[in-house]
Parts: sequence; structure tokens; C-alpha cells
Amino acid sequence: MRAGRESQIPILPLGPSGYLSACLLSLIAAMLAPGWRVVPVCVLVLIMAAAFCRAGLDPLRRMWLWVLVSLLILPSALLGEGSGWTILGLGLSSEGLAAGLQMALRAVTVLIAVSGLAASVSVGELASLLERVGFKGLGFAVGVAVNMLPTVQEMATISFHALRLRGGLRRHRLETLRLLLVTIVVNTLRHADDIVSAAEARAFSVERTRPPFRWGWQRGDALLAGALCVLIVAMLRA
Amino acid sequence: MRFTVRDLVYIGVFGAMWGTIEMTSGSILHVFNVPFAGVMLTGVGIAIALIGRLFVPRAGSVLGIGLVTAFLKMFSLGGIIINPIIGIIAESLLAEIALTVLGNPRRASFILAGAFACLWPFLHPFFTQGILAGTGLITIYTRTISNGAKTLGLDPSAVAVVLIALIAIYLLIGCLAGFAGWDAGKMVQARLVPSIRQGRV
Repeated sequence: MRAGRESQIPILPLGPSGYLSACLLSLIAAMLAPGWRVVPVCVLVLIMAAAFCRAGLDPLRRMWLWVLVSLLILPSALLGEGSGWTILGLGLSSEGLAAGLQMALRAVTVLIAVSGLAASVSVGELASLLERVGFKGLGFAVGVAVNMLPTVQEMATISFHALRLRGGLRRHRLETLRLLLVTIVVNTLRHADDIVSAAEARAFSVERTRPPFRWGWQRGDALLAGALCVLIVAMLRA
Repeated sequence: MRFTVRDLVYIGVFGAMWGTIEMTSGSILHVFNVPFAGVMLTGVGIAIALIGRLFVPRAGSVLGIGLVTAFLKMFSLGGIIINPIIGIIAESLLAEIALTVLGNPRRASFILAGAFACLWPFLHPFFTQGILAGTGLITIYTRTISNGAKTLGLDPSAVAVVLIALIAIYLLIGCLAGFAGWDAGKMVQARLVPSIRQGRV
């Protein structure tokens, strides 16, 4: 357990700005890299994930990723144009295989970059970033939504069963679905009204709340972002 | 964008409703490989977000609902799925642009906003697979036409017919979603009349 935890500790810790810029730059590089230039981009992202956020490499251990990769490579190799090889009576196209491999590498790059960001930066930190660019109170709204999820699901289940038991789904199904939607929204809004009352009773104000996290650039974040920009430009222009 | 506590609670609540649909029905529709599953899911989601616009009639509310839904989807079970997150944000942004440009909430603006939002699932593979994954726009275009022709039972060589039919279906579902959003929203407001009179909703 302890060894597992230690293996998750990054070699070089970064701030959320560093993780976000690394993720965005990796996505841009994966999108812009033509042909086989996606290989160095993918290698760079893997090295970054190993150095700064090992949890970002977790998808590599999942079976579904390799199924996805094979689904990207096999059809292109089997159905692609151009000459190639014959294995077990099946014709493989070299061009199709190359295109499939490049697509798979792009998919892995994007996945590692995004899962690395999600593993390193919390919902609150991401929400406070959006608050800084004008969405004041988004963190509070996300918190309300997370807490409301079980309530919404429960209300939907209760309303659906009530309608079904009254024979609502036998005839006029569209009308029933409309009534179901209205019932769920009305009940959930009544519950939301209680949340508003509770917040107002505590004199809660979005203006007065301190953001849960203050985004800023640490020296390591700026260095990494700068180095990445130079590396990616060099890779794409080489 | 400055929202009151009530606005933010409603944005959170409508985001939770759209998120619930995405996390439950979304998986079921995709597992059963239902045709036009993406646009149907968008239709329901955007109808909920548009009802939210009636209760939070400020610019940015639909985008806010979309962002909350994207956050829920991002951190839901099953790991990071980037495509739906891009889709939800793009759909809410398109609906928000349409609503902001058209001014006060009206039935027509809701219908247009729904149509705008539901056009994204048609464009989505071009962006995510064609540009982001690097498959190429021509490949995605060819695949869209052949899949569309197969689903609609049309001749794949009649490219223009298939394309027009596909876009028309997406727009129609969007218009219906906008109409349903307005209609259901007004019904919800009518049911909550006592609360509205008391200034609670």
C-alpha cells in the first residue's frame, strides 16, 4: 500500500498552472504534429507524465485502452490502400498500418495528457480557474450539482415509477415523457429552493467567498511551459 | 457574468439534471448502438439547459449549465472521456451564442438555440476524429456519408441527398428540443406560480 502510494509521488511537483499548460501544449502538439512526428510528441508526453504525474500513466494499465488502440490500428491495416504483407491469408496495407499507428499514438497522447491533468488538478482548482476568467461562483455551482446528483436520480426514479404504476406509459407516451420531465424539474427546483434558503439564512454570498484556490505561476510552471513551447516548436519544424 | 446565489444554485441543479442524463441514458444508448443516439442525447440535455435559461434569464447561464455538466462528466465513473466533454461544452456554447444574439427568451429563440446546439453532434466527429485524432476531414466526411446512407437506407452515391437528409434530421431534433424546452419550461413555471408570486423562484 505504502509502496504503491510512493510510486504515485511525482519526481518534480508542479503547480496547477504547470499541469494545465503542459496538458494544453501536449494537446496542441498532438493535433499539429504531421505524420510520424507524433512519435516524439507521444514520447515527450510519456516522459512528462512519468516525471510530473505518474497517475496520468494509469490508463496504460487498462485493458480498454489497448482494445481502443487495436480498434484504431486493425481496420486501417486491413482496409487501407497500398501494398503490404499477407499474414494468415489476410492482406495488410503498409500505408493503412502507418495511418492506424499514427492515429493510435495521437489518441494515447491526448488520453495521457488529459488523465494527467485530471489526476493532478482538483475540481475546485479547475473551477476557480474558470471563476478567474469571469465565471464567478462556478465552483459553488459544481458543488451544488455534485450534491444534487443523488437527489435528481432519486426524484427521476420515483416520478418514473409513479407514472408507470398509474399506467402513464401505456398511451400518449410522448405526453407522458413531457410530464415526467416537468415533474422531475419541478420537484428538483423545490429542493433547490431549500438550498437557496439555507445559503441565504447563513448570509452566504458569492462575492464574499474566498476562492478555494489562487492560480499563479510558480517558477517550475513557467520553466516547464517555456521549455515545452521551445521543444514542441523544434519538433514540429524539424 | 455575475450571478446571484439563487442563479448559481439553479445552474448547479440544471447541470446535475443534464449530467444525470449523460451518465445514465448516454451509456445505454451507446451500448445498444441506437441510431442518432448522440443528437438525441444532446436534444434532451439542451432542452433541460433551455428550461434553465427560463429560470436564470442572464447571458452565460446555458454555458454555465454546460460547464457544470462537463465537470460532472469529467469526474464521473469510467474515467476521462474527452469527446463527450468537448461535445457538451460546444453544444452549450452554440446555444448560448444563439440565445445571446436573439435577445430575450422567446419560443423562436429557444427553437433556434436547440437547432444550433443539435448541429454540433454532426460536426463533432470532424473536429474530434478529423482534426484532434488526425484521421483527416476527408476520411470522416466519407465515413459520415456512408454511415448516414446505411442508416437512412439511401444510395451512398447520392451524396447531396444523404448530406441534406442528415443535416435536416439533426436540425429537426434540435428544433423539437428547443420547442420542448420552451413548452416544458412554461409548464414548470406555471406549476411553481405560488413560489414565483412569493418571489422564491
